Amino acid sequence: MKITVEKPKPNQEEEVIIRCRNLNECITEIICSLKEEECRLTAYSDRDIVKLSPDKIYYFEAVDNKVFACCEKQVYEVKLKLYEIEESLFNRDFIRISKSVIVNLNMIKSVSPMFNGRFEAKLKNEEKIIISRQYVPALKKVLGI
Amino acid sequence: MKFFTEFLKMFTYITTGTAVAFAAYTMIVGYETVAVYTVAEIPLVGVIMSLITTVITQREYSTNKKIGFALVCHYIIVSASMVGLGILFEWVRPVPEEIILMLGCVLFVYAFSFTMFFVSMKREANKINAALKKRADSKI
Repeated sequence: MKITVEKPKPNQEEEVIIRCRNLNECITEIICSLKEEECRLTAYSDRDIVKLSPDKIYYFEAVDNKVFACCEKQVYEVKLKLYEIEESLFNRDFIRISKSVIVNLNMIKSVSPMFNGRFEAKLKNEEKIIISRQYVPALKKVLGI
Repeated sequence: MKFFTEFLKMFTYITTGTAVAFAAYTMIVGYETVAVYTVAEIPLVGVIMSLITTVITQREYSTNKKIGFALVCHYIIVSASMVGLGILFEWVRPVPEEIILMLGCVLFVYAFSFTMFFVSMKREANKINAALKKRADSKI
């Protein structure tokens, strides 16, 4: 396979063009990896700056004007507003479930009712988060109920 | 604004519940007639108890244990208000039998409406869980 890297003109944006006869496994993998890279979020912990793949994030939570990405065990700060995350991860399995939380639907293990009219979502890492009543219709719509 | 909409919602539920509790109580006691001003007294009781309920439910409770405790407190306040206002409006005579009967009626309405509410929530949760499972299976 011939690989060409060109420098774009000053007013051109960076672009990847794949010229192929068939979409074989190798090319699909390249496309996936490019798409994945595009969606990765820059996150900050006490010591490191990491690139997080959305698939590894369980939920985002806004606390005191800061937004945190909660993974299985680690928590990272993300320098984005919750609504910006909501927009950028639209159609990528993330949904707002309360004023301060956006959850990855793939990480929800089960949902159970609470006595006060809210729902509680149990995640795959056994963490529990609250689903506000006003966000339930949107969740049901996404799930096709 | 949120407080007001929540208050209106509570007012609808509680006034209906009060009317049902009052109807059950008068039927059991065997009153043949009910004073016409009761029509105004029931919404008034509804307003007072809706205010109490809205204030209690404004607080966020994180666990079912804390919510359960808040519910018990709420039931005690609602029962006391219902008996107090019942005596004031002469729905209940201040004798133990009638007070106990009124408490029983409030408990019945409270338990019935809470059970119905929780059952509908449980059904909704089951639907969400089934949809989540279907979604996860389709991704494999």
